[in-house]
Amino acid sequence: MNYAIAFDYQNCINCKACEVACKEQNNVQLGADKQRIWVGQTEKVVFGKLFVNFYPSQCNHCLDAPCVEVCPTNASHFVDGGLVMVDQSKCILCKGCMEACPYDARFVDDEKVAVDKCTFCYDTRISKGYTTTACQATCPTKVRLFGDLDDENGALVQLLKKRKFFVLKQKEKTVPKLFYLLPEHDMNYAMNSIGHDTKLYTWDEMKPIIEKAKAKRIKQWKKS
Amino acid sequence: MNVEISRRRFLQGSVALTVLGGVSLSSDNLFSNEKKKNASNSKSEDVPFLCGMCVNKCAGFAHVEDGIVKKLNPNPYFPKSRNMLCPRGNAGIHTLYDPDRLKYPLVRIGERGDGKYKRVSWDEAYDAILHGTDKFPGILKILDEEKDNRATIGYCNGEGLSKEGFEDLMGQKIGTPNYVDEISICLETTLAGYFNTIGAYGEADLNNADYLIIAGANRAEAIITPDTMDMFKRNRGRGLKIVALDPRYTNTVANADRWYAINPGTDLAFVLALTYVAIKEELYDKDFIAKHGVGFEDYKNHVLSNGYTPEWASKITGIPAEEIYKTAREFMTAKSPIYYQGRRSVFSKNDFQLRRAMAIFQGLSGNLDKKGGIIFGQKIALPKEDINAPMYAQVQERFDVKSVAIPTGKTGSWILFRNMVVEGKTPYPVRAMFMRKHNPLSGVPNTTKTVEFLKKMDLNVMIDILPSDTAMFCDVILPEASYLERESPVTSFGFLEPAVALRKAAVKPLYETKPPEVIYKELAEKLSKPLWENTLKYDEDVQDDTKGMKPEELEQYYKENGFDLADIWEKSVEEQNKEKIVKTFGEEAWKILEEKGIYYPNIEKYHKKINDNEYEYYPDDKKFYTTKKDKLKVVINFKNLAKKGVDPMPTWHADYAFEVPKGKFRLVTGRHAQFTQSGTTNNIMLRDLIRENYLWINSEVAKQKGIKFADIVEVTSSVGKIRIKAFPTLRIAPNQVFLLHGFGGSSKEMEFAYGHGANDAMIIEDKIEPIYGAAVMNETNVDIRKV
Amino acid sequence: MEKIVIAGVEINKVSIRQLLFNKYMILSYILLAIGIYGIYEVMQMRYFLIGATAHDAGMHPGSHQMVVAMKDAVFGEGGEVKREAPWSLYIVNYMYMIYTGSGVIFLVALDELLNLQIVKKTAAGFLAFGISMVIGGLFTIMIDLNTLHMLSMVTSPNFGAGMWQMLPLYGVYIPFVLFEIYLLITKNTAWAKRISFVILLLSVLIDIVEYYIQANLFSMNEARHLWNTYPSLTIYFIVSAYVAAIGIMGLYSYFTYRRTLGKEYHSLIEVLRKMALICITILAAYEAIAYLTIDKHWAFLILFGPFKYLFFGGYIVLAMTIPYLLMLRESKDILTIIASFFMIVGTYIGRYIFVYAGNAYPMSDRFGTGFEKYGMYEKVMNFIYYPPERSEVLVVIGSFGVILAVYTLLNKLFSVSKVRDH
Repeated sequence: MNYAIAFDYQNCINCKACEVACKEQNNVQLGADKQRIWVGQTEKVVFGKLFVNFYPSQCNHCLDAPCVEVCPTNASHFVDGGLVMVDQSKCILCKGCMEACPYDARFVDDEKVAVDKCTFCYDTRISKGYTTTACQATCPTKVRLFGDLDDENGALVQLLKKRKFFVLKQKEKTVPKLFYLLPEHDMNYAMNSIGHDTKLYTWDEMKPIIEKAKAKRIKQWKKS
Repeated sequence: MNVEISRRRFLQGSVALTVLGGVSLSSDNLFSNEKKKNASNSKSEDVPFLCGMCVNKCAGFAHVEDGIVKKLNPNPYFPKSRNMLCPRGNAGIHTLYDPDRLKYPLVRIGERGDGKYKRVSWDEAYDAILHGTDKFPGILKILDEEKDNRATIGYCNGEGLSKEGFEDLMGQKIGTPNYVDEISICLETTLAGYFNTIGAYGEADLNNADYLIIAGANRAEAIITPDTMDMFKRNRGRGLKIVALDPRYTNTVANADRWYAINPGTDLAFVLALTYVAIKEELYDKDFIAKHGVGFEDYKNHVLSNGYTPEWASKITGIPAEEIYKTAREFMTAKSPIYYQGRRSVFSKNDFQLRRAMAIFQGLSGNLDKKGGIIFGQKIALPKEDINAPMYAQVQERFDVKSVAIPTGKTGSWILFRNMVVEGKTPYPVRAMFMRKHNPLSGVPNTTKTVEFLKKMDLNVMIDILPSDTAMFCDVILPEASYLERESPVTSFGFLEPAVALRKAAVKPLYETKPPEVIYKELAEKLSKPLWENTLKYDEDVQDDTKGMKPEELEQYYKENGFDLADIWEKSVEEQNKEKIVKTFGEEAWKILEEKGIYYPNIEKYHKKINDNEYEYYPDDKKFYTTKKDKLKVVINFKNLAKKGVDPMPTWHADYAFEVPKGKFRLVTGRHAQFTQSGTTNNIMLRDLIRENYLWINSEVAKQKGIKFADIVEVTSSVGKIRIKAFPTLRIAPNQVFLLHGFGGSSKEMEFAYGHGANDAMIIEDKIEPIYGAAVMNETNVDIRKV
Repeated sequence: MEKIVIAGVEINKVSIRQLLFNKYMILSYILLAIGIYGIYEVMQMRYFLIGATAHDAGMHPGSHQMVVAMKDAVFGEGGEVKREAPWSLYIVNYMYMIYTGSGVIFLVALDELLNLQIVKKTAAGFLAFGISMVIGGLFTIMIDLNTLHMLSMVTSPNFGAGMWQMLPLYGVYIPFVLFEIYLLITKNTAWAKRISFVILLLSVLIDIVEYYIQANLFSMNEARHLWNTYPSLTIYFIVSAYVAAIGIMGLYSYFTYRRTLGKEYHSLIEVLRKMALICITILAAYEAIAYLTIDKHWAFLILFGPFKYLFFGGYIVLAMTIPYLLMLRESKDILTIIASFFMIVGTYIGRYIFVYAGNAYPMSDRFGTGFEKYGMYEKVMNFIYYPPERSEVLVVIGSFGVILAVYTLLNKLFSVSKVRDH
């Protein structure tokens, strides 16, 4: 089991249904800061034309997660399925994980006085038999597809085999598992929506990277 | 350095003591390490519901654990909502559990608007409506003084599944014609335009269309099911080319393939120019028009002789002429083009003609009543009960629509009605307003006048779930149960993939609230006999009929002629629903409907799961693409209109031009996906997403005026002024401004809505368009100054 | 003064009044009181904040307390920790106190190895002040952490994490330095002399390990390129700690040894002056090279962006330029003391920039298309900076009190500031 999510981000209309669904499903705190998932928005002018784009994102559940590496008490740990979870009873709020995360995925839960982040709805949905995360299920334009990278016949891997995709900040070498599908029919839009040093992958190129990172850290995966 | 820590302090009040005492406000106690309750210990169920946060009625399942609704999940069986819930849908829990909700009936003891109310029982509240208190007269006294002229009562109702029930109560049973429907501050002209041209509003088949012109409809932020879901999965070269017209760069424009920043209110010129190109270059579907068009030759001459060329249009709209040529040619040569109907409040006074022109243009392409076009679909018929409506001789006519071209007897015109009452120009006094699920102080332009209007009433009654701005001007407030707490009349949704949907109650009504049908029944029961006595006193026809009758005969007359106001609700909603479904489809269907919330014939055979993100509701060959066939008519030259002084064909007039005096700005209105007008502004989960509304002002203009982000500016129009924070952006033209509708609540009882943001109804001038009297929202010019 | 001798150490027999209510302790009490008020504010904000979660409204329907809590959550200023800049003044203070304190200890050990007599005579006092600073830094960190879960450091350790390694490190370091002080003040000088060389070598070694672990703590945060791309962060910490340490030693000498050393005072100040010149030169050269290699985004913010005044005016000028000019020639001692003061302030500002600038470049440029904003009506943040809260400043002042208190106690009991001949 190696859970990941693929994003067809060109569908996103920035309605923020995913943000609300996540907060309701996982009983997250209210407050602008307390976002487990979010939709980022950029506005720029490209050749005299306005270009506004929407980027949904969340914790990447990196295979080579720096946040797990730096946590002194193993509060930030891996569980089976390649998920990064936080055991909030162990968190001493050193905030090292927040500093280590390149994706701004973590925040402090004021009630539990511990660090919190997206859990791929593992404890609230996946472990209870649902096959979708709350954010995936609620999305009007179905941006997300949650699935298992180890399942060659599953919808997720089938999709990744068909499309080119990229990950965020691949230079940080965290091997993140949020795969952003490159829009394939409007190259103008696609190129405007990514940076110059965004590396595009195919499934064949990404699979060995995933396997290598998994092999490196799989000993740390605990039973959930 | 932060000066103040404005949080709940350790020593302040009982709040902190509860934390120390271990009975924390959250489910996790600071000092305990207990994990959350085991799923196996708690009782949980999934109840099908229909969302009531906006007009779409998306279907979902409410996940209820131990009697508390914890999550709202999408329902994969409803074709219309396509297995999703938008942000408001998810946040419905916070409307249900809104701490500011009306919990028990209230009766006014202070002055209107000061918020002083007394908690009373339901009986006392009904009694106050009937007999009044020392602060206000009851309906009985009013009708007595007005000699049973039922038209002295006005009523209004917001959209919903129980709207018809209220219309039945007030319009049919109590008998007043003065219904100010919210449609006159919304899409009245759009509906009228399409109905009068192609016979129905129709639905755009966006799953199969290949070219879309979407003008002034912001589907990414004003979500309509299933259009929003279909549209944005096929854009960017995936099969649907989207050309968006909008004065500002909305999220829809961001997802479109082309954007024309059209001048507000000039769409008609654009459509006429497109029509010109289609006609001149003979690109239109000649066979289709020959078969279905009515009066095409007149229109052809009209358009060509008036010279509605793209060059002419480009001066008015601001869109370059070559773009108009290009768009027209692309549209007419596309296989399945759609000029999206749109549905929103009226932008400008030519809106009716605009929608007619759009419908005609769609007709010219021939893409109607078939796959990929605007389809009419099929509705699953459900049995409709007959309402035994009594006849009142004393009731007088509506007065508000006398000055409009096409008076709609049922729905009237909010602005005309209100203004005539305020200015004392009514032929008889209007003395009572019965309102339900409506907030005119926010919804109707020119709030100041609406306040005057409400103050002029002798009796104001409100049925609502929140203490809205308008509720604070009412005399009796009846708390209603929200959509998650009640079962509503079963409804049929038509078009391409018709289905019947049922809303079941997820939890019992909280506090002392009651479902609307129960309120109708109880109110009707309370008012029935006293009002009947009043009718007997003044109504000559009834007096004639009942002359010399004995009490039992009188009672029979009373019942048979519909004067028993409560007879519609003899059976409960639940019973009526079951009856209807079992009668039409059988017991099995009722079981499916109760379990899945949705039913349509052959649902078990047709409904398939393709993957987690996609479902098939009807197989393609079973969808209702073509239903009108030969009966379809495209009425191009609507001769009857001329009799009423309305252009029978869309015509441009010079005063339709977009003009903004120098130094002023045109105010445009619009939506964000996170709010439904003013109904959701107290929902804390949604407020979490947008704290307050800001004024969109062009960055260059802002720089010139020295206005930076979040600076407070004062916006003044001829009817009012507001203060709001500024949001300089390039997404709006230099001579226009925009602010999100629904904010700036004035009701102190809504603690999240109060004081945050500004109310655009304060500054929008109460202009109307001349054909239906619908409120025109985008014709106000304002001044901006930095404070 | 009467003394008791235990294990070769002379303990002054002082009355409780002399021990706990002398003027230095009173001053430290005032500072501590300020610190405790800051701690109170912090604890309030951290533990007694009524947050509002999504399910709370349903669990307590109709509760007015819910309104208050939810309104605060949505319209208020947010919680204690800022998501984009979690490490703040506490980290700055802890860095400064611990690194500088260890720097003092490190320098004294080095000087003793180099047989600088004057330092050998005054070592005990320096070491005691150094260790007090380290304890002051640890005090600051304790306030920053959620101590309720501290036990999991022991029950569920992650040995590879720099943060965890601090536990055994200081568990060994503090007793070790106390042992060093013991060796210096013990009456059993013969035995002390025998092991002194080994101990001093160990001291240097343990200091290097300490700086290595501290550098790891910062450079393991791959996301913050300022810390990750700084060349040889260990060496940077050591060198910058030296500069600060010499400043501390200078001021300390002024207050403690000016009278007691007599003529030798000048030679001590000379030693400090020469060390300072060398260290400042190395530090300046290091910074110049460093800014050529670190990630240009962060470098821009520091050198040309919002931090430039603080960097050049605060750090470079105060920590390096002015002291260098003041100490360039051998002259009056007071100049070195003034330079020390500037070095202390300047290096504090340097640490401040190091931490705050590390977080200043937003992480929101995930896609390479520029910074993202997360709400429609927000400004795009291209620079993250949250000035320190009042409670943080008060806790920092409290840490000064801790340092003064620990040092005064050590001094009153063991007379560490007495000049001792070896």
